Amino acid sequence: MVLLAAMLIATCVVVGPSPAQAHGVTMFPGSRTFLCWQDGLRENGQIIPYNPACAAAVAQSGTTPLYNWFAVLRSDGGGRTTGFIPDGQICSGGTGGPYDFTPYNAVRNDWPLTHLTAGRTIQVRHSNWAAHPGSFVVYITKNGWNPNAPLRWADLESIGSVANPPQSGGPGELNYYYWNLQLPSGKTGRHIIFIHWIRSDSQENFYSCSDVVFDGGNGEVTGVGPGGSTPSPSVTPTSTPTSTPTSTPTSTPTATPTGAGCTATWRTVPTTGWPGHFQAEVTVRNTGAAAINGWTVRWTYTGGQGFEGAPWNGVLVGQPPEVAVRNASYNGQLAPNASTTFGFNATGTAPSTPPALTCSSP
Amino acid sequence: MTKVRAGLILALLVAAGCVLVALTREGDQERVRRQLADRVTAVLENASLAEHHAHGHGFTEKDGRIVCAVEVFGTDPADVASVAEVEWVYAHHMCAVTGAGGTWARSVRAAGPLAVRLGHHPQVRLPRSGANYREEIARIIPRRYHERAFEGFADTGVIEAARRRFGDR
Repeated sequence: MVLLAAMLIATCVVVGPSPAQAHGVTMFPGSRTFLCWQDGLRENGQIIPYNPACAAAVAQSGTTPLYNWFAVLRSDGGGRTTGFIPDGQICSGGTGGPYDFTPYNAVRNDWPLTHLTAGRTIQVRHSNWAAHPGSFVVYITKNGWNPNAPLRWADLESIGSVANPPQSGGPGELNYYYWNLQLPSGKTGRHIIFIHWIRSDSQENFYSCSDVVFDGGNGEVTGVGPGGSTPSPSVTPTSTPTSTPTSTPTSTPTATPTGAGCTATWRTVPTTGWPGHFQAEVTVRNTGAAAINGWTVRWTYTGGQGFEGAPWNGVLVGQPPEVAVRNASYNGQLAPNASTTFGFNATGTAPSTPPALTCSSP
Repeated sequence: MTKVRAGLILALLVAAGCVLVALTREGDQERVRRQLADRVTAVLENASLAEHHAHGHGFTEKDGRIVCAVEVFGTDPADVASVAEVEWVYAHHMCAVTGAGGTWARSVRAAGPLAVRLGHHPQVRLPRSGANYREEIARIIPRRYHERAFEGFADTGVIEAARRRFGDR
């Protein structure tokens, strides 16, 4: 009886959610939590996001989850996917983890972004904050998936897995597991790379969504930090592809400037903790029947507002009060009905009615 | 001295006296809030792992020592002249762990508004994980401090002091 009681007490001690131990998410291509942490982390430890998607997530669930960017996990994961993690909650691993990462499931086109080239081999880096034996299963969204709808398991296809890859250094710092991954050919535009880390020594799993775009990039990261880009570790492919892709090379869309056919919509982003400043974002949409190659948005400030740092996802070409923002090098081409969003930090008071915006192409 | 002049001087003295009382009360409030911040810091830094887990902090043994920055923005009762009168403290916190071996900024693991009930067994209230964060804060913090709760630290000097204690160079 005493022994039974002792055993029950011992069981009770381990039952219940274990304190979150740091574990790991993908650092390259950066996962949403890793890049948002990089985006907002200030020198004194405060998190004040620059990226509007990261700002929205922090406004929704606070900074503590982001300080634990490496802990997007389920202690009861057990390798399960469909039927366990609901569609639309893949990036947060559902809702049963120790921190609330559900805002990182938001359907937005302005998450931090890694620029890649289809068919090229990259070195994936996955944080080994706490090292465990297990496998990493890599998925990518299928061609034709809808980036404007919640991510579903049916959108994902597996492109490989690796078991117990080597580590760059000891756990606890910004070291990582690493392995080579050949990106599929025939990919263009926006995709999500999803990595599912399945421990082989317990039920615990980890989930990483990385927003990527196949635009001939070499690992550059945009949408992070005050300028919209960050000096990310330069990515050099560690090996050339062993076979040349047999599919036809990706073709650049021929863009016919129409001179008109784009609209711009203003949104003031609720921000906290920054007196005398506000944040806003403008969504540019191609409302014409043909693709456009370049856009410029203009408006007039009447309240003495200014810019705090450079916009991200856009280039300031006209200073206040007659503001003009032109596309960045990577988001000027918009297919019919496609949209892109630029954002910025501003000084002064957000206009109570959004300023009238004009959009022209190019 | 004319009556009017005497009256003016009296009015000025009373006004000066009022200002002095107001300043003294403000000085009192600042002093009390600093003392409360010290108390809350001690509660957070000295809590056992079990206590941290019970109120929602996910620190572990691997995390090492905990170092916190605390800035008090409210109390209950609201208007107090001494720590002894305070039942609840409302503050911003930012806690880092030493076990990660990194800089202060990279070692922060928790931040945000919280409520602490002082007493022999201090009680810490954090927004519950998984519940609606903003609603949780509204539940924990009295309405009169809601705006303050959603802002960050007003005085980054408090953070710098914790950073020095952490050992950041």
